[in-house]
Amino acid sequence: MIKLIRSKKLKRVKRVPKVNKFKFEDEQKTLNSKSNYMKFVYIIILVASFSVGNFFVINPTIQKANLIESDYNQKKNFINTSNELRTSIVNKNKKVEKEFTEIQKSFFKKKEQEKFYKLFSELAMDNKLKILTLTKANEDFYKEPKKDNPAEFDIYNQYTQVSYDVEIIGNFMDYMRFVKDLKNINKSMMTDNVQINKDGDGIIKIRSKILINFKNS
Amino acid sequence: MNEKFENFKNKILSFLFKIFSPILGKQAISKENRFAIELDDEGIRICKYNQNSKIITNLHHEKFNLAGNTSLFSEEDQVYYSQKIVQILKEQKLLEKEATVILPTSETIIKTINIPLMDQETFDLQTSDIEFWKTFEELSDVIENKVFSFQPLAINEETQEQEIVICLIDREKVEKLNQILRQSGVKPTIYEPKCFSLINTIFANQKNNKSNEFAFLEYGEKENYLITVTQNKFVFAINNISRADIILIKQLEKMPDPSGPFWSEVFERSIQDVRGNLMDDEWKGNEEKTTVFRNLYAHTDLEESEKYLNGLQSKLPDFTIKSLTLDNSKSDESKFENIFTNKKIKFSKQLVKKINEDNFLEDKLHPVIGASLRLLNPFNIKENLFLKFKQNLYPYKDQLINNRKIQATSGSLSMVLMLLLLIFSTIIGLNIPKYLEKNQLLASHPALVKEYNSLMEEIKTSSSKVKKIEKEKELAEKLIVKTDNFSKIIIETPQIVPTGVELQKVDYIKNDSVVFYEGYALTDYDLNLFLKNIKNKIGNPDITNLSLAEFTETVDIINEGSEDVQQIIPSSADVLKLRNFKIKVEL
Repeated sequence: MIKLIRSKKLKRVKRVPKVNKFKFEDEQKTLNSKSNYMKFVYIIILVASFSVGNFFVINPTIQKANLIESDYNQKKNFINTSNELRTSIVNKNKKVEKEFTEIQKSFFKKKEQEKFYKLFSELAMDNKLKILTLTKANEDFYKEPKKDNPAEFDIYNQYTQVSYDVEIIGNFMDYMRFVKDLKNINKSMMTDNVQINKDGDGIIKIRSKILINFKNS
Repeated sequence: MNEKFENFKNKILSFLFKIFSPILGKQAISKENRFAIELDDEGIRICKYNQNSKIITNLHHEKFNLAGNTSLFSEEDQVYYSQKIVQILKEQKLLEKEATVILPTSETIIKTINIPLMDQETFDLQTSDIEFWKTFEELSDVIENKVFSFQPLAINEETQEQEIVICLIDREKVEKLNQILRQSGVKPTIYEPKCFSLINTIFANQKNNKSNEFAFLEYGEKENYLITVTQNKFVFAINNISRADIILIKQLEKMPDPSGPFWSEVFERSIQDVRGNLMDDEWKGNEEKTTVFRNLYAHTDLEESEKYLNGLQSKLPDFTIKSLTLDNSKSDESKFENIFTNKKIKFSKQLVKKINEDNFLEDKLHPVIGASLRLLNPFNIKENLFLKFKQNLYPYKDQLINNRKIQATSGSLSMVLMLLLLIFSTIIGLNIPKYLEKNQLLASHPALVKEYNSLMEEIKTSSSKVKKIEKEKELAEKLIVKTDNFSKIIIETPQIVPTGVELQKVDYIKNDSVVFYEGYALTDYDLNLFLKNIKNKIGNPDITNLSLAEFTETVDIINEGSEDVQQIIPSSADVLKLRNFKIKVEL
């Protein structure tokens, strides 16, 4: 094998001194003011936004809130502490209602006047007394003289006062027990006038006027 | 429509520029970090004046010492020049900095023309058009292919004209120089004719404005001209001195005694072209039309020139000729204008030390000192130093000034934007938590009020209900609680009646709250006991009636087995004497 060897031709390179290159801006380039206009617009927008935000939203809101803040706090405090008050009122209400209900039991209802007769006669019978007469003498709403003008009356239509004339005979001890029983049943009943006369043989005759308060509802 | 809008926009912009120019101008100036450079085939002169500290920090001159006939403008030599300049600038730490470049006065054309007086807007519009300048006879032939710069000087109210100083230079030349300098790491933005650099040095060195009227004579091998400056006039005149006379002037310094008619003629010839300018009416004082003594500053590129100036002084006795110098030893103010000793322009301590050690300062540095005081000043605001002439032959100065204005405006706008953003953000940031809190308060207020009102209503209802029930209860109690005294009396009576008392009648009257007891008592004792018991248990007793009653008890005897009844009459001993009483008891 015979190889052909070719001689390479070397180029003569002329050495050129190194030229410095500096990064200067292009002299002929003219900058555009567009970005400045944009910045100016941004400033206007920023100032306007701030003015609107601060002077038309934030400050008025704060001022408005400041005006109502004391009222708000007062109301809030009241609400926060109201549970106690509410509970106390509810408890009081319950208590008063309970007491009132209890008191109401002391009254015969006007619609059920027969209950009074029944009870009265039964008690008399139980105590061996004899009712001679039981006459309704008067019936009217409960009334009280007015404080500022005693000649006039405050009329309470919740209650009706009925007075009865009663004549009973029996012995004193039985009558005493009868009175005691009437007292114990604790109905709104009062004795106005009583006249007890000894009728002989230990029998007494009682003439009395009793007043019953009926509740109307 | 567009034109109108454009006009309106321009008016707004010019108005804004007028307002903000001082601020923007200051900002633009503060960013100018420049030095002055004077370059020729033989060497380089550099000066840097720090505008902030008002001190010259760099003052350097160096000869290139290149062998053979080399030229800065020769293509072959440019690279070597560039490398040399780069090396010097690197040493001076001024590479890639902005520069004021001094142009040889001989390469420029300097003219003074009068134009009709016009308002600023019209002036700006007209002068921006080259055709306007071509209308002037003095310029029409020379303005083509030139870079030109102009500066209004004074207004003549009588003639309604304005004097303008115009400088021109071949565009090709200055662009070529510009290219060389940029390749050498210099960023030229001002090209100033050398004569103005020198004159500005004199202006900057003046103690007061009164001495701002003077003449300036440049003479030597390269440049010969005379400039006269008054408040209202600037005159530039070429002073043609023959080559032979220049040689004679140089020789003069070596002569022991330069007096005599020969030298007198040489002196006279050396100023013959400009003597007329010095004697001009404009140049004379107003008082009695006599020439006022003024300063004539002289500058030369010759090594020595003392004897020539002495001779010149003899020819111009009305003037005080002062040579521009930087030599410490020449401190006589009547003969020399010495920046270094004058102390008006200060040098840094390092520079003073170097100057004293090397004694290197030479008079050729005068122009570069004057040029270093120049600023581009795109907004044309008032500068610290008074430099009367601000010519700039930089070919792209209009673009540059426009760009600088835009950049300065942009920088200021960015700063304002950032500042406003910061201020507003801070204000909003500080207010936002409060705002959110208050806003929430406002938002929840109606619900709270509603809740409060309903609660109040509930409480009111409950309270009124309670009150109502209480009232009802009170009424009911009133009807119940009333004590039934009668039952008490009845219940108590068996216990209070002693055995010796027998009741016949009990009468209870509720409305009078009284009870009457009627009956008999066996003895007083019994009656008393009864009264006592009444008092203890029932109420206060009051005997309303007391009487004695005799009771005779008849006894019916029924006999057993007989229906007859036999009545036995009791004896007196059997008669009962009882106390009949009626007691009223107050309940």
